[in-house]
Amino acid sequence: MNTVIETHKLTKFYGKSRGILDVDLSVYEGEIFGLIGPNGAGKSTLIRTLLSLIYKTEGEATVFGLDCHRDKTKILEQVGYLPGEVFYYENMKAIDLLRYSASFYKRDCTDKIQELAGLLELDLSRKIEDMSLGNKKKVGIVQGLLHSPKLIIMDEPTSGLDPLMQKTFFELIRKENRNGATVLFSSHILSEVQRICSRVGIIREGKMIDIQKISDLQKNTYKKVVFSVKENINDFVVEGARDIAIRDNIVSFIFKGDCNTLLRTISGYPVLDVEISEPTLDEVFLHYYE
Amino acid sequence: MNILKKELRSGIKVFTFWILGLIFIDFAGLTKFTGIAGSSASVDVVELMGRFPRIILAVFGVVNLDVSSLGGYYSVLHFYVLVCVSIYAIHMGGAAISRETSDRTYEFIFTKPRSRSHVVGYKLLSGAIFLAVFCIIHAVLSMFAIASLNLDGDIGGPIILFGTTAFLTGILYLTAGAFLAAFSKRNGIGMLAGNIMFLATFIIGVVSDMFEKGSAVRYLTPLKYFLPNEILQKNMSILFFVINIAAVGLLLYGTMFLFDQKDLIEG
Repeated sequence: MNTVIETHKLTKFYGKSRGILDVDLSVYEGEIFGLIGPNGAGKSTLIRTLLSLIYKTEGEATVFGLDCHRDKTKILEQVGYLPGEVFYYENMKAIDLLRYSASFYKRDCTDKIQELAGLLELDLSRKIEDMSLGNKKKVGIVQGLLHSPKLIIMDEPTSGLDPLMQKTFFELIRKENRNGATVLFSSHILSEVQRICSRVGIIREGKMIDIQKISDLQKNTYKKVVFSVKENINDFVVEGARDIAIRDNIVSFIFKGDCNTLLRTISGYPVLDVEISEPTLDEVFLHYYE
Repeated sequence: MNILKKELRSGIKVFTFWILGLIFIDFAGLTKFTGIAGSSASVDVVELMGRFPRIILAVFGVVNLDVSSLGGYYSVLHFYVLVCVSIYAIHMGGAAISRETSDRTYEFIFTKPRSRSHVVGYKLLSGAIFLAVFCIIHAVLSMFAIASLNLDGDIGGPIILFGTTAFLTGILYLTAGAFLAAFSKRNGIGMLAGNIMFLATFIIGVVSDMFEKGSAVRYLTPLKYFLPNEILQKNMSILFFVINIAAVGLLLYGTMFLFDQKDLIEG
């Protein structure tokens, strides 16, 4: 398998502040790779270093086998980027911005612009300054994909998109991926990464803690369980539960294991209500420190 | 070319405001000269100027100028235009480097397949075009005003030279503004440094004018590279052309070098 992105001991400091530390990463051709971590973990720093918006302090970073800094222009011909927060020239109309964006590539992007705008229900005649955050994000998606890049890099791409549009967006990314594009995207929402990625890199405090196949991650999925009972209970035990807390007839814990065992155990109590949800990232990451 | 077109389009509004100011200076200024020229008032004005301390004359750029003649009077107007050109240029230079980061559009433009030097080069070229058009309009307006007001004095040649030298001075401030912005770690500081630089060179210009027979201080301020009397008498020193152009080259190189090394982040 060809490697599209490769970093070795990639480190970035902003003065004395930590950005990323000794990040080793390989993203292979044709995969959708997710970077997940809490805010401030270093996801954006890693992405911006790959795009040469900022420069590494130490280590190596290559894209398509080319050096990120030295061969930046060549690399960017094949890269589409959607930043986390979209800022464009406010006085421009969406279509003018997209034409301007298209003018940097050696291909006619007119049809692709229309196709993407239609799919995302984006009104191209509107001025950027009059657009909502969601519509600006759509402009960002179109400008990132209009030249059919071989590598799509997205930083928190779904923020500002409503759930329906998120679904359309993920379908769009899957389609680009089927057409041969490699995708790297960052998020702090675990379910988002699980929904679309083939592998995921878990980043925290600048370090790549783990890289897992999404199938392995799903096997190890943690659930947050909260249930309330009619009577006082003093103790609750089930295999796979940790951080168990009992207060005011409410039992809460983080669970990883066999769901049938969990449900059987809970049903043995006089249950009033039960909620099984996705834990926060911090709760998921706790086990990396155990 | 696409960057140039976009920059020209986005800069046209500010340019229009500067041109309105220019029209006012050229027309209103030259109209006032009709009240001075060829009358006893001209003698009064010369006398009045003689009573001012030299430092005041230096601040207003009228040292060693005979304001009763069209050439001398035009030199004073040109000094104000030169100040405008310099301020306009230094701001355009600073903006060429820092506008995209302060507006947070840098993640758009600097992730396109173009080098930073390419992007900044075209931004500075658009600035140079605005300055060139500004100076051409200044020269054309001046000639038109002189002709329409029937003012005596053949200064067509010097007007073209005034325009050309204003352009050269403007280019120097343009690249200086860009250099200072590229050198500064934060956007605000870069623009502030540009303003301070202009003020410093203005004060050095005043100091230079305080010397009766000129001084080496003149080398330190682009505002005094091309003196009105030398332009009117057509005895300009080629040395200052060389210094001006060499400084532009060095500042341009420094700007590209520094900006290429810079981390692009907000703030």
